[in-house]
Amino acid sequence: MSGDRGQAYTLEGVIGAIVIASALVLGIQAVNIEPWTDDGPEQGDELRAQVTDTLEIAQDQNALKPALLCLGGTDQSTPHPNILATSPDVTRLSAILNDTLDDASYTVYLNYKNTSVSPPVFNQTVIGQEGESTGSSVVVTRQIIMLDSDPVYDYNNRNCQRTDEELQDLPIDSVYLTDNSKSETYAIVQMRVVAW
Amino acid sequence: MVKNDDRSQLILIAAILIATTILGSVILLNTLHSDADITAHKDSQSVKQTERVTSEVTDNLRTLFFAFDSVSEAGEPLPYISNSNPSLFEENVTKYSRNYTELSTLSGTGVLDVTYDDSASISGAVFRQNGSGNEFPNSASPPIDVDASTPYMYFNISASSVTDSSSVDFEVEQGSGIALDKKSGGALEVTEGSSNIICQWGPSDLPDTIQIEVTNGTGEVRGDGTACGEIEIDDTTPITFENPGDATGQYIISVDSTNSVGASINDPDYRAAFTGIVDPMFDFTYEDPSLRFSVDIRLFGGNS
Amino acid sequence: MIPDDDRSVSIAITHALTIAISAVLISALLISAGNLLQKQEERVAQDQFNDIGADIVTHINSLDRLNATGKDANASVTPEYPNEVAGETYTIELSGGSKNPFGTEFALNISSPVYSRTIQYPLDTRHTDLEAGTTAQGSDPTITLCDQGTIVLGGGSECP
Repeated sequence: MSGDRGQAYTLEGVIGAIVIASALVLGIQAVNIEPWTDDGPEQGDELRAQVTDTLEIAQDQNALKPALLCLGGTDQSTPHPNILATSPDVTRLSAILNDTLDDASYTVYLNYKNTSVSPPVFNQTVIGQEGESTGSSVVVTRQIIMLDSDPVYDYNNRNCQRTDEELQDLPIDSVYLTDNSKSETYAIVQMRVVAW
Repeated sequence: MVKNDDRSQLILIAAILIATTILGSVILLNTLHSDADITAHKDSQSVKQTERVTSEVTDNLRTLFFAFDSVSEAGEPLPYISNSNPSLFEENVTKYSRNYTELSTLSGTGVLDVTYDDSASISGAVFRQNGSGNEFPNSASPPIDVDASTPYMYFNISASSVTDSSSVDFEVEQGSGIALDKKSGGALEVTEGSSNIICQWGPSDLPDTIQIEVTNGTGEVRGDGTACGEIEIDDTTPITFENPGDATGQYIISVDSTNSVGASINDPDYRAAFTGIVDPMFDFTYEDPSLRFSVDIRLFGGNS
Repeated sequence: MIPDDDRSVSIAITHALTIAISAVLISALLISAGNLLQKQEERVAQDQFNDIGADIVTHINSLDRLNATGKDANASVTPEYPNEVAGETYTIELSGGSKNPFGTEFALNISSPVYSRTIQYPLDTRHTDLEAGTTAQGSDPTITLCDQGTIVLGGGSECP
């Protein structure tokens, strides 16, 4: 009788080992899938392509300069904060941005060189409201050349109207850009759109 | 009792066996298995960025080229740099390149270096309407040779001024060139060659202005700024305006110096040509930690 | 007693048989577990090679477009990929001729000891030729657009 029970114990031990070993195999087999469930870089890529294309379309339709030269912001020398407002669209640029980026939020910044101080510094202004970006935001930049002969626009009653003045006619302090060349080029502005 | 000692020994051995089995299988399976390495997704951002920068800088240089001399000399943007000024233009391009890099490195790592290459640029002349009128000259005018290597050609025609519905009105070249044809019923067609319709509009959606812009043989037709078709010119055919009728608008045609007509046109219908560089060449280099790209870009794409 | 004697003999044999069978079962278990993990690794490696292959094809297509922007375009880009996939290094090669099932003139090959055959991706460039036969080691392959308008894998020294 005791001999049989010893055999049973051994058998139990061996079968127990088999069960635990197969449990281990099934456990280790599970690969870490957390990276694949991440929203990840693909979504950012699509948004970045969308914003890049939108800015290119805006440039093609000459929508960038009339908005960026519609002054009336802080101390009247920067672009008016309402140039990106919609319903109704204040500028062609706000219409384009609103139409193509209607399910994304974005903030537009302008970077430009201020050569009226020495040494020159780079200033940044934000147009309108600065939104709170989430972690996965994309940044797209585009540089625009402003010419001496570009027309200046005036913000009036939710509309940017063209004036008879050109950029070179404006006194130094009344425009955010500084004329940093004796030729036809007035300045370069970098438009930075952060979208999420 | 002897048998109890044997039992306990057996139980101990079984327990050790189980423990060894488990340990052994864990170690063995660990060496067989390797984790998925998920950092393989790389964004090819550098190269896409390079493409974008190339197109943006070419845009900016085009704006600079159009405005540089012509606004002060001719009063409007025209595609030429006067011959007396290439070094000033060169300076401005270098300055633009530096400014561009300064601004772009505020939020990125790419470095741009663009210089103007005068020796490889094409010189020639730019023709435009004479006087303050905006009518197109008639076919008796001396021709300008236009072919696939003509740097730049631009027409801006008022659609409502194209009126004749019984015969073709406003042809640029007879037969094989560009024509605007107002049909009876009010539809308007833009054709190239004798039968190739590039754009057409019905009477209800007629645009205000029609633009035709051709650089180096290829170009597009636009109605009120919206592109509607593409053009290809591969003939060496003189540009003459046939049947302009009452059509009004503007034209700008630049030719290179190998064109035999050049600046010798002395016709009241063509404004005295502005001579200078009509197709500039730029040496373009863009560099970033993982990529280096350099190319010689001719603004209007002439690659010969 | 006779019945006791019979039982002790059969106990020993039964015991031995039981342990032998269990040993066989456990080893069979371990071997099939190993096989399962191998398939798992192959699947993961395939996914990774797809990522890497698609990325290289994108780079080559972009260089192809950059070649059309002007004259004498040359470019050199070095993307970074993981050193090893599924524990093994891998090689990347451009192949030409008709050795690929896609019908395109060129194809991108990735070969690694993890697989017995090479993985191929179709390449269809519009403005540039590719230099078949150039190879690069996995982790930092350099893709170069040569002055003459050919794309090679490897640095400028590989240009024709």
